[in-house]
Amino acid sequence: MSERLLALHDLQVRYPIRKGLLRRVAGAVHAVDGVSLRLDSGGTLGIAGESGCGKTTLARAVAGLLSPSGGRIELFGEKAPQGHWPLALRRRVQMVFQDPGGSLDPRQKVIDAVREPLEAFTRQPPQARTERALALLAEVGITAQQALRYPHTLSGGQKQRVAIARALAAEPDLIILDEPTSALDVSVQAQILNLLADIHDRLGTAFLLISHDLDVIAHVCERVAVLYGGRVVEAGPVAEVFREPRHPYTRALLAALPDPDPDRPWRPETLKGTVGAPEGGVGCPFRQRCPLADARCGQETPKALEIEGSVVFCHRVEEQQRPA
Amino acid sequence: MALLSMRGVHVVVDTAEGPRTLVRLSELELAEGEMLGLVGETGSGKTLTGLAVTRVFPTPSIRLQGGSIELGGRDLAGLGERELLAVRGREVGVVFQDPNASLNPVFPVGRPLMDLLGLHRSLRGQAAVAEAVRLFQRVELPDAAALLSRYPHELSGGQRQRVMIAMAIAAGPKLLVADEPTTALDVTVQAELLRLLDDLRREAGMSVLFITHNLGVVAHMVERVAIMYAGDVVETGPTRAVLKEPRHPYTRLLLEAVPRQGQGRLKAIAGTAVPRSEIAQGCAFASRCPFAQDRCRAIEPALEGPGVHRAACLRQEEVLHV
Amino acid sequence: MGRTLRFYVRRNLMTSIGLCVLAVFVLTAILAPWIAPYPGDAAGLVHPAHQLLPPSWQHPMGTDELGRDLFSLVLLGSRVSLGGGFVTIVFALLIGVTLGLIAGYAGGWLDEAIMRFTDIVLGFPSLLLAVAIAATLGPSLDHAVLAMALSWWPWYTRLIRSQVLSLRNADFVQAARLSGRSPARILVRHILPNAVTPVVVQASMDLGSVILTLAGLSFLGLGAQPPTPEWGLIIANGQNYVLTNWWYVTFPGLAILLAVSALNLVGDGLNDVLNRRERGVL
Repeated sequence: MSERLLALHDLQVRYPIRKGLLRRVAGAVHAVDGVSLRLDSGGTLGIAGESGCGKTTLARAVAGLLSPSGGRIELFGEKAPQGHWPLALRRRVQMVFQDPGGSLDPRQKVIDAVREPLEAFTRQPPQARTERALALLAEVGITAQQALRYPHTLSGGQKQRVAIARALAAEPDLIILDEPTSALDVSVQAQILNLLADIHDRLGTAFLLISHDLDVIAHVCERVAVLYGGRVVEAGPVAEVFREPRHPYTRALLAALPDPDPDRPWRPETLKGTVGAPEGGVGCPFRQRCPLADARCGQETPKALEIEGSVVFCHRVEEQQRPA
Repeated sequence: MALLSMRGVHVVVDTAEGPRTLVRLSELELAEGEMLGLVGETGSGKTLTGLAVTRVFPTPSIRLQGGSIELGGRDLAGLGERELLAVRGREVGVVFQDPNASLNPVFPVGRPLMDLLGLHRSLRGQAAVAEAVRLFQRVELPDAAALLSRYPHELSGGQRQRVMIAMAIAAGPKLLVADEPTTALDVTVQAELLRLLDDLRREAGMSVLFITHNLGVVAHMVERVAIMYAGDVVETGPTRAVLKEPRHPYTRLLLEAVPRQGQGRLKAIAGTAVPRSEIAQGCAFASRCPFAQDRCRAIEPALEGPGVHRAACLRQEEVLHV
Repeated sequence: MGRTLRFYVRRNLMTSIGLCVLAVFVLTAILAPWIAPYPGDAAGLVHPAHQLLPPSWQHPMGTDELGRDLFSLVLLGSRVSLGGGFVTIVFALLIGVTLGLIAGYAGGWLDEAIMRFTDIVLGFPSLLLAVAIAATLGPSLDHAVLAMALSWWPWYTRLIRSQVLSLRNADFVQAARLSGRSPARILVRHILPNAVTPVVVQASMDLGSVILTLAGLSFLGLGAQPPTPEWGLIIANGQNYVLTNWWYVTFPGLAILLAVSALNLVGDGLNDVLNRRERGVL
């Protein structure tokens, strides 16, 4: 039943660093540095990580908005083309952006934002498109009245609903959600997360959810991949990874998250240093901040280690496992 | 004894149709050396409440209309602009949410700090440099002396926020207003910064008005919390009591809206917040409240309850025992 | 939109004054052939018997050395001056906006080529271009308009390009790509409407300068040719009579001053309204 929907093989996205008067390329930021992941149809995969870990770049590469520098993106069993995507593929992969205000054209009425994909992807007559757009907006809780207004008259949560309706208009198989609720209040976030859950249950659309908020990922996703410095450090079923995080970074990330229940202990670890731009190269990307790092972590890139359905990239974890 | 006591504070914004109420605060008190969590969502008025203390509002059309703001027994609301200058920075320090927007990109980060030391503590030259280094070390910035001459873009977000904290505490204020100081930062950085804030408070006996939307942070950082909705405090009390046994439906729903692993549908709060100015009478939360009755829409509830845990809800006993 | 406009006009007295003055100018320019008392004077009729009469009820602005009614000339001249300025700006906008859109969105060598060409044109004095065109094609109003449009567009190219550069990566443009839109359509439907505001404001403010320049060119003999009633040309003819017959240059001069000031006031007001709308502050 479940077929391979998305597969990333050693995906790399580099941004050149230009320096000096002649703007010569002096180096590169390895925003995404060899990520391999997969997502089955109807599945939900969360990409967790902090600012600069490459999660947004990853999302845009998968959405076809920027071209990878290396590796391969496979969608629906075929290699995604570089550059412009054919309409048939374009329709199947949609995205919802973080900033609900910025993703809607301020000079375009709400209904036109939803009509646009219908015009491009379907051959319906204009009247049918309008009706379909209104129906889609109604499904996400936007009234016909609101549909005729401009985006700035809507609240942040309402704008995000419109963005979701626009993504649904294409009837995609995969929706990439790039921090869809991080600009919203908790109570509004709950509404949007419920809406996403409904969509997933009803339409079986696969989600690739990018978020820094582990609670949101835990709530929405079945599987999670934790990114640091452009690489996956740990991936697996949400229940497994969050119950027993193995990578030191995943542990630190989970420990840093305070729970609203004052009875649950909060013991954040102190990490050394600060997050820098990932430079790629050999070694573990987390080694500069890792409390467990030693010489080997700088000389040798950790290999994938499978433990109970999860994958961990860490020399220390591997050494612990060895005797057993 | 309360260091800060705000009563009837009324903040309005001038519009073409006349002044519109943004905050109408019944009461808010902060004890000496206490860290109080002021919690609310966008538009709840939590930030404006904090800013009302120093009366530095984001636009000139927002102003303090009335009420009393007593700091150490003196009413700040009655002070003129000139007298307030002596209060800002010296008696009350402020840390804002966005450390990127708070530092001028064309000056080294040490410069505004040394300006402040000159202004508030008459320190100049070598004395100012020495004190600036001490403050940078106090906020645990690495390589403090060298960092003074660095520019904001050379620092990470967390480091910039530490610089902002150093500036806020430079004059040894009695009160620190921290407006979402860690919201723009990553969780791993947030934890360290929160610990630093708490250390500074203990060490200097400073009171902190900690403004946030993050219930998780509040649960572990402050002894007492005040929940704001539509420009007023709807519930206040010891953190544990408020978060474990909320007496106001809004607090309750807010807690239930936080997503968790393995949980089914979230209990979202219906509708959107109605601004204070559009509520003619009754409870501001009534239109979204599952507990609301006719009397809720008629009578505006006051903060009341047993002891220090109080809520502005006519049905708080029912809310508590559901 | 109507409500917004009224709100800001009420708030901004200077804009409303400018708008009123401009409306009077535009109306008289349109109705000039019917309201001018001696329309034939602008077509070349002369009345030697009435030369250089001071203002009176018959001739509210007096007459010139050929006995022509200056009021009629100024009225009909407003068509030439305002119209000439307007056409110049429209031409400059057409060239400038198109090139700016292409340069900003395409990027790469095309952007580089367009912008270097723009720099060259910017560096070329507009007066010299007008002289060159007048010299090769002969002096006329049309050629003056052409010369000005050809030297004016680079400003709009630069403005539009910088707008497009900041909009090109905006989320809503990316979203339009996801919605299956072609680059050309994204450019016209999403980027242009959002990029055009500052250019429209700039153009409305430039209109005053363009009218002034056009009058200057006509004054120098490079623009409108007699007997076309153009304000600058009337002043050029009247320069010998400044000391003896004050009304000759005063009234066309006042017309230029009033029209240009009104345009600047309106441009400022437009800037306010459009910028506020952009920020969603209604």
